[in-house]
Amino acid sequence: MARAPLSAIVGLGFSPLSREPAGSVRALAAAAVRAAMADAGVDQEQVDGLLLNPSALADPGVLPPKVQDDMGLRTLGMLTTIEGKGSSAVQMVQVATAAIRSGLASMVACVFADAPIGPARGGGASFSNEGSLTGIAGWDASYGLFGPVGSYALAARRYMALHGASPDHLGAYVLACRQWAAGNPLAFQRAPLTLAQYHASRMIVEPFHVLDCAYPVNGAAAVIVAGADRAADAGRRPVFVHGMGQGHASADTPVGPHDLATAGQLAGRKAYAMAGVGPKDVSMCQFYDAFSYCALAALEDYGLCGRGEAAGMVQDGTTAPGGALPVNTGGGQLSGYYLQGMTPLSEAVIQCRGDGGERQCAANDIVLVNGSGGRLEYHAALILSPHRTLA
Amino acid sequence: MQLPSDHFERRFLDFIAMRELRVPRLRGSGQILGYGSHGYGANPDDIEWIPASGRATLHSYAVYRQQYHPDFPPPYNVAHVELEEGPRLISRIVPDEGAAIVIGMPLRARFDPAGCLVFVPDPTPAT
Repeated sequence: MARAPLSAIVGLGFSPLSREPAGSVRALAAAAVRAAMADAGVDQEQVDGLLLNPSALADPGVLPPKVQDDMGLRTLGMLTTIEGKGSSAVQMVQVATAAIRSGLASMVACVFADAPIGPARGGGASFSNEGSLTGIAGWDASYGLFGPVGSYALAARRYMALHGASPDHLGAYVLACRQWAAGNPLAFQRAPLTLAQYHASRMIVEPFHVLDCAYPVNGAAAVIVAGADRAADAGRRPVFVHGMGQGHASADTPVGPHDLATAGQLAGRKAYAMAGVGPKDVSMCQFYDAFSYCALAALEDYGLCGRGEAAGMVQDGTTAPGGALPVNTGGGQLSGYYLQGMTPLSEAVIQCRGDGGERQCAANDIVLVNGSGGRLEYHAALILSPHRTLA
Repeated sequence: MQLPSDHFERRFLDFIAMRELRVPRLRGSGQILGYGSHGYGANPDDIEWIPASGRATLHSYAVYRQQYHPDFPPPYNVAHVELEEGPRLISRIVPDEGAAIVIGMPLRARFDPAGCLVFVPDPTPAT
């Protein structure tokens, strides 16, 4: 029996995205939600839920609930902030879906907004928080483990040692993303890139070059989630949510026999089961790839290949344009734009709608989206499709 | 009175301040806990802190090339170390002159003159 979809994404909107100071987080969020409502063809009276996702590294209070007024959402039946680090944007769609299915709300705007680049502050300075791998407050910082880049570099280095992967493998993924970005008008880094240029780029924390790290921008993106039954009313082609899952476990808690396995495994299994599909059915992936290694880890944790096989998979072009499993088709967070979980989510919506222009892939039937945060500790995943039923 | 989770962190750091590396073990089951577990909420009386052997292996390491903090001029290494007893923690490797740092290499815990826990290559690994 065909399963009914859980909900539908009926609108997508962006604020202006910029590498220059472009306004407050609150104003960016309002601009994105208004754009998403216009895209969905709905007005403020129809939206009765609002979910907010400020960056976990932003100052407290930059995205207050009062932002509902700036969006013209004078009365709401549901309003809260989701704090699951990099999994938050994907979690917003899940929470919206659950709220709609329970009757708490009927149409929910979900927005991520961030302004990491200020007049006197580059993007990198906003991402220099203390590490937390040991789990004892202040300990990691006392050894100079600053920024997510260091914690992820540790995971990447171990992966490379265990599986014989080289910097060329990370570089192959970076190049694949750059190739995708060339077809994305929203992408910030679209110039062709060679492996030699990758290797020559500035080293941040070995083994990561600057090109292995997300490209920060100021901006916001929003989606509108509605019940699947209401999707037919929407002006634009709806994107159906068929599966949802989360998984959370600290970096030191074993979640499998392999010591690099993360709770992404749990999120994936749950999402697949709910959608009635398996990893072999996935035709496209949109992953949270704040660092190049994240995509390799996700390919393995979400079962798209075996342990240690992701390095070879990216090197042989499987994830690149023309490959058998398109991954991060808008350039992802490295070459596209870093809007945390909204980067993979927005690209999934664009691809499901067939709005990808030069980069549009035919293989958009079953799209896996993930968001992850901490040091790959917090995961949320979605199975999206342009189809109301998955055959 | 301290709540269990705070107590757990405090105990670890108090031993470190005395230049002792210890690992938490549940009385009863004898299970060794990771530092990040905060004891999984166990009553502090149910956790005993046993001296670590000091033997460890290198789980991973990273080399900073960009400066993030005035006290940490690059380049410097940050090591993720796995103690013989199981728990992992962040530390620093003080390598032998000219020797390579290799994942999986045996290490030995040391306290430097400033009282900071570091790890040095262990020429006599456990067999």
